[in-house]
Amino acid sequence: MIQKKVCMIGAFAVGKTSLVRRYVSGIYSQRYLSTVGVKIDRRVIATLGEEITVMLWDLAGEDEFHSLRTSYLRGAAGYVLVVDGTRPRSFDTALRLQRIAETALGDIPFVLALNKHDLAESWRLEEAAVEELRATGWHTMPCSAKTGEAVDALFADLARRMLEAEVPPRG
Amino acid sequence: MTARSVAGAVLGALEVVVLERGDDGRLTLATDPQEWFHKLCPAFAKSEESPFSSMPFLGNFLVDAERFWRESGTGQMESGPWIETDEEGREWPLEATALCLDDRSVLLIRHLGSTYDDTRSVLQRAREFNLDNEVLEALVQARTATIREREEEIVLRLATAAEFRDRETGAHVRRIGILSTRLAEAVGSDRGLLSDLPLAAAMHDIGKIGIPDEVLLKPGALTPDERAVMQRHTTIGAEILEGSAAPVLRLAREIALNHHEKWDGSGYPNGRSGADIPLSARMVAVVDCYDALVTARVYRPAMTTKEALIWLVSHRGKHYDREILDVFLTIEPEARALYRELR
Repeated sequence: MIQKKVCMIGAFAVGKTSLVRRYVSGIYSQRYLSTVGVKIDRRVIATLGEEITVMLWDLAGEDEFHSLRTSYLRGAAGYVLVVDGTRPRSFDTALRLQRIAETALGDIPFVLALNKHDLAESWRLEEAAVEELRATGWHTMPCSAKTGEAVDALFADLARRMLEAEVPPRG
Repeated sequence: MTARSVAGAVLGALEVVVLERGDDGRLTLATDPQEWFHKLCPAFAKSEESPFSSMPFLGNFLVDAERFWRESGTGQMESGPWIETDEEGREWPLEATALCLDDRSVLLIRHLGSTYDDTRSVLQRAREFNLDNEVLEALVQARTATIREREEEIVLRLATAAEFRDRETGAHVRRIGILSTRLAEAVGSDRGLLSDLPLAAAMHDIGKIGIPDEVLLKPGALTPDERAVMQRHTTIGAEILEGSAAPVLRLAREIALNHHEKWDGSGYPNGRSGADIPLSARMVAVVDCYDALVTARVYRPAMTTKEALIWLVSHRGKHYDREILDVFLTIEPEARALYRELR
């Protein structure tokens, strides 16, 4: 079976672990539990007539205590950049991390997951900034680990594009 | 108990597994096997070709470790913590260290146990503190923006009140603020000036509030005495705005006092000339004159924009700073669009 490594990257407390748990186990916990280091989960997904095992590397969030180790990205076929839509600063962090990931991995598929879309009244991202990224070809997806909104869709989109790309991973 | 067996017992108690890399690149256990290690890595016990296939994180680390063992010769390299999950769903926090001991390449794998929970607990508190800070910062930014909006509204309404006596409208005040700022941007002014200019420029004629009606509203030409009274609106404006520590009011004072000074020194109230006139006032002077020319007055109709530009250019280097006027000419089409909107 085809196996693809996908890295979850973003600022701390944006919901990377929650998105993985929602996607892999279908569960969500309101309690924020900080990730230390790396945890790997797997889920088999069918796309383009193939079954692939998506290996999700949930990497500890970026902050002043931890910065992203690019060696963790090695071999990734795609990545999910996670942003907390209620925290504009997490958007800036995602943009910075994307540049790091692109330098390490080259031009491979990724999705910008705009998480916590259930908190619409607290949403603070500038739509124009997101639209600008979309216009340059970024795949962006408002989603919610809490409600499950668009979680399957974002991983399905990434899996399809990884399979279409089928370039040898770098890094 | 021999020293070796003591060391082995200590490593066992610390839940550390030691592996040594042979010349063939294979890793072999150098300590007694530990239950948790075989549970997480059954392929290793069976001496399979890819013993760490079930531990992709470790496999990834070994790529770096191989390079380290080959190139370093001394010291150590750590993998950072990671979590493995056994078949029963139990999570095991681990950390690997690659060591060079003399000529030997050694790999330690440690079950972090409660150390991991302690680290996570400390990190969690720090991150929750940072999250609270982010929330507070966002709140302060939102409140600051609200206060700024209120300030702007108050200033614009007060400036409009002063202009209202002269039959000017709030639209005039806003046009001067917006267009002066656009000109400042095109000139390449710094962010501080661009931030304060919309309000400061809007207050350029605030001194008119102190000019008597019989002079301010006189429909015909002013006598020399009346003109002297009228010219006092610059110094009255400066007095009104005097003594503030707020940068926006200090800038407003500078503009109110100097916006009728002329490049050749023939202006008022102090007859300043050239670069001695503050840049802010030189810019507002161009915009204020343009606005006056293209807007109808009770005593004359509005000029066309073409006529206004001809008039301005004819005073280039006399009333107006040549460079500022040239930049204004490049943005003038934008001014026309603004006038359609804020007529």
